[in-house]
Amino acid sequence: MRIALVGNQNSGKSTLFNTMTGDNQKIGNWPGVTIDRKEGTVKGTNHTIVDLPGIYSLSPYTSEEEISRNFVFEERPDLIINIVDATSIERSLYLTTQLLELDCKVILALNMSDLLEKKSLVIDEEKLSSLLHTSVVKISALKGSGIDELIKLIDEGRILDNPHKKIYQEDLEEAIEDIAKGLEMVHSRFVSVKLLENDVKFASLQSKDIEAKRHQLEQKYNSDIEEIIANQRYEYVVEVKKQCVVKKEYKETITDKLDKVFLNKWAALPIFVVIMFAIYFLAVGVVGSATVDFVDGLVGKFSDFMSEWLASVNASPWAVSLVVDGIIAGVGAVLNFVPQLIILFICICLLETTGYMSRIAFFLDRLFKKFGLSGKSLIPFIVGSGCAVPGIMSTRTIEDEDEKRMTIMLAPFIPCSAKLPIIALFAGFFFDRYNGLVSASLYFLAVVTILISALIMKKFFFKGDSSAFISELPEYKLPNLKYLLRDVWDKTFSFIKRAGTIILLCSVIIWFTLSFSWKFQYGVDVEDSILASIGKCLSWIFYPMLGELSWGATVSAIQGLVAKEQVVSSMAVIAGLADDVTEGALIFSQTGIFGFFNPASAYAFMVFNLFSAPCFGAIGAMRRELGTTKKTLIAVAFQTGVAWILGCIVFGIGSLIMLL
Amino acid sequence: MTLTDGIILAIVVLIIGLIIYFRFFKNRKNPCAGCEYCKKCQKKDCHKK
Repeated sequence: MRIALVGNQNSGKSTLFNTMTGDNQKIGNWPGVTIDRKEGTVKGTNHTIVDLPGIYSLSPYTSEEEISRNFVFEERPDLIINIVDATSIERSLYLTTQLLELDCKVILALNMSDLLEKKSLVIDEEKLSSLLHTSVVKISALKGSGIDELIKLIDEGRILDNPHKKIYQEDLEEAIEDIAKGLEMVHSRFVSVKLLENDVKFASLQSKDIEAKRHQLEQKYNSDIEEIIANQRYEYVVEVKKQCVVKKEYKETITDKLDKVFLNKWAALPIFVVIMFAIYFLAVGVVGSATVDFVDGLVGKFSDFMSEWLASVNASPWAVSLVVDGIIAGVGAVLNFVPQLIILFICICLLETTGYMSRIAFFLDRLFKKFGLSGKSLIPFIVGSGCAVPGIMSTRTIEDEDEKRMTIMLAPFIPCSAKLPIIALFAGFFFDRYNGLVSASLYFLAVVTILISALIMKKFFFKGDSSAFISELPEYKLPNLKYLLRDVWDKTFSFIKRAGTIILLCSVIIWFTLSFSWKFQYGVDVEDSILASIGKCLSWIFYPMLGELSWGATVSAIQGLVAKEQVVSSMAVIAGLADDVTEGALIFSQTGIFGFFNPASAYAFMVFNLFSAPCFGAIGAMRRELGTTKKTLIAVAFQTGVAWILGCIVFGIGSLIMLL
Repeated sequence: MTLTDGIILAIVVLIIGLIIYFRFFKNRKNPCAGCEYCKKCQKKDCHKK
């Protein structure tokens, strides 16, 4: 049996999918986590289950809604599990009424039933089942309650048939039935409604008779046909709710109490600022100081051991150098930051799963709107704090093309996890006690840069109105430890995998181009190496932000295009070969190749690397979402231009401050 | 070049060859492969609109 999971955004579809299949799809307590369909097998059965992106109706306005509608309509699943947020049934049942118009059996899964009591709600599921003529099961996808009953219901085939209950007023029902009679196809009732609504997808089936019926109804109700149908649907939904849901005396919930603080007009923004500062202070400051030296020491010991061992088995100096100065130094420099990243991932995951991120999107919507963006743009920015690729992909939830393009161009400005090693290395060395503060300041600089860039783009290039941001605020939830650990593990493993693959590859290339001259002579002075000569040709570009013609910093920054962590890795390999140092902190040794860095140039270099064109993976994602190479090149040039200008400004201001 | 050098070189070349193959050839149509966000995605063209 092929089962489709359909429901509103943030109704718990992916959580139910994970519980039913034992899988570990990404979940989050905010809307729009799933942007494509995912397939799995229900545990202990042969049933295939498909998790679809969240939708509010079967009228496709966004690409995820289209994915869900196309699947349900064209691929004809045997069963639809309509997952409904039991705590806000009125909103969810609108989609249910549309699903019940399809020629497909539907089970209504009332999710989050465990929260009903807290919200002083009682749902009569038998009454609901008899009114909708569909099977109803109360579940809690997060706690796993009711899932066995749901699977048993499917397995035993005890699902009620879908008789297409009449929900509209008589004249509208008559028109729908008349049209349906003339359609010899599946989902004829659903298609009839869509034909009356003049849905473009079914334009080929339109006729003068349908047009006349539409005109007649519009005249009678003195309203647009879509509005008439939507209104009658809502009237039906309200009636169903009235008969099935009893609201006891309302007690203020924890969510209400917390929202009074977190969504307070005056307190919301300062709280957000404090939380972000705390996260970076914890990740880069406290944990950074405690762990980097420790991991660095381990890498150093391993490096010494390998150096001695290879020499003892008659390896030539070049082979020892390749393994120690190239691979271990390059990969080790990036692995130093794993403990800090774990803390950052835990904090971001906590903000996502507790529901706080949704509040921030809601609160910042008004501010973003003033700058030509909306709260919808905030979702890609939040996702982008992990990795820019999914951040860019999640712009698919934005209907407005201009706003989507702006968000795609601006999302890579948010510091992703790959940029953390750059921040941690420079902030840790040059700003000592204030490293947490400096790290967080870069996050806020990114937000300010995004807002100013959006304002400029809106003024000169994208002149339309911002789209409306409609999102329901989810309940605050305690994070599920299992999901938290899985999420953090997935992200950490992904980072380690990059260090072991692309960073390793780049480290070998860097070692080779640093150890050989153009005549392929080994052991030349690094100043005469292939890499140094390339860097020297381009070092003028970075002079205004470094105050020095540094080929080492130039080639390291350019390698950020491959992967942002590579900037740190490259600096470690260059310092290792040029200055004969192996430990991260010694990269900036006073007499070394990077000894010219001071707090002003360090901050400027961080700013450039944070805001310049993202890695190739993210550029590829931008190309796919923007649609053309030309637009992608414009975006890359824009990002790099902004980064260069900001870097120069920061260096100028920083140098002035240092002079004072 | 000693035998040890040859072995080291062969291992490094093999590792780099595998990285290049998996990174740039096998998954060239799906650059988001391995991303934690959609690593279990089974739709081959998930990155396309």
